[in-house]
Amino acid sequence: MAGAASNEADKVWDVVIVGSGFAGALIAHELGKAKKEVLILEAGAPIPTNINDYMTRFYAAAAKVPESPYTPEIFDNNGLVDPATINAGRPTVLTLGPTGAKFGDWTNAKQAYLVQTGPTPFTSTYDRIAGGTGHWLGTSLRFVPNDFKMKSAYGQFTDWPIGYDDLEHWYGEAEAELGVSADKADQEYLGIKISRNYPMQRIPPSLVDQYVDRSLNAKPLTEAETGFLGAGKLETIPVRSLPAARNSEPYRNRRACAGNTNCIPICPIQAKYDPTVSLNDAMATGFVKMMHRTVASDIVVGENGRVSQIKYIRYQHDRGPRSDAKPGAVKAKVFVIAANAIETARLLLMSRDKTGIANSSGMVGQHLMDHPSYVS
Amino acid sequence: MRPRVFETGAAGDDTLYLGRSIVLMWYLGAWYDPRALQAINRNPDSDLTFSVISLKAYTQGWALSVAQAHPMGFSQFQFGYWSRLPKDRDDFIGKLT
Repeated sequence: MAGAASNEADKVWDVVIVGSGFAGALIAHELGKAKKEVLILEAGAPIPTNINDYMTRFYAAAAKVPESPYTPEIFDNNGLVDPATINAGRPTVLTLGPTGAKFGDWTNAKQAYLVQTGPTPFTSTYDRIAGGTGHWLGTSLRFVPNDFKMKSAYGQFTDWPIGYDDLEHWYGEAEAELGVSADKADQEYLGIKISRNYPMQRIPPSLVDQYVDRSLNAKPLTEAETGFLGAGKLETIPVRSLPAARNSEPYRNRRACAGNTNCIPICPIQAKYDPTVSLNDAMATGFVKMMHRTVASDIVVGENGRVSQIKYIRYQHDRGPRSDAKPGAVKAKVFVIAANAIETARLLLMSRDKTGIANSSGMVGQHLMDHPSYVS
Repeated sequence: MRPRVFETGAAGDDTLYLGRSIVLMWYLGAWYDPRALQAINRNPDSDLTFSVISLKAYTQGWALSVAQAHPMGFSQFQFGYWSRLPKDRDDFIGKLT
């Protein structure tokens, strides 16, 4: 991928994006198509031209966890290395072990990247390459309309300032870009309306899905069986295929799923969408460039009260001293911070001499959402 | 001269656990140290670590082939196989007599 040349140091880009995960990659691609000059600052290493290195590492790993293909530097022969010695660290599920454990104690800062003081650990992880979203499952469910009005519909939480109808068009756009396989009729439940059909047929239900469906729905369910759900009269419980961002037929130059049973952490044939797909498309527009191993460290606000530049630090090797890769700054008309829920908040809060920016609400870094359970 | 193990007719523990490691290697494509297997037999709480021998060992281990399955990340099947019953066992391994 193209790197930004040093003679571009004083250039004012149309847009600078911090992070190349889902948001960063998709925004870069759209801007590139519109002929805007874009620079992406990416904390991680370059994306390899093919995934053989990732697959080799994954096959050889004894513990096949989400990080296995991507992050060799977090381990050495003695196990987990001290995260402080890694230039752009990342959390791993291997550090969700109990307090006091010899290996993977989540409260031990010599092992765990995230410093956590709450009663239980935050269990979701992320990486420093294409946002680590290489290891997402591909689940692409839409919200149902009532998700946006929890307060008015159920008296719980709060209503969103937007509703399902505001997002409906964009769900369709995203499903086309990611390549989601699903059946429209199957997914139009609880008020969901889908105006643009999914680009591919649904993933066929597995033998287990079929068995569950038969067991649940061979004959009408009775009040005694379903009453505890509090959902009224319920004679069937439909079993649906999950809308999945994995190909059920060849789509956008990628193959159909061959059932490698490995969406997490990596699809060996890229039948599952990941942001490197959009990143490659973005690069191919000729308007998007990327600086790797470049960690945004300070968002600088100019005299007019708007962000004027972003400072960064660079490194050459994943571990050890930062060597002679010089720090610097980039200027742009517009800045996009798309660096993951945790790292975005961290960057905002550490900017402006650690007084923080874009935080008039005081909510930056608050209310982080986790997976209720970890699927792996 | 025949190896001692055959002469005695009864192999010692070292030979027994080496044999187990080799069988595990065939089926799982991973190397379990025979001493670790002995240790875990004496004390089920002891650590049992293993290493993946090679990429080929991982992808070609017999256990998953016997199950008409595949190792994570290495499928030789085609789209939709998961929605159909696997071949009859006899078709796959021949008739057991």
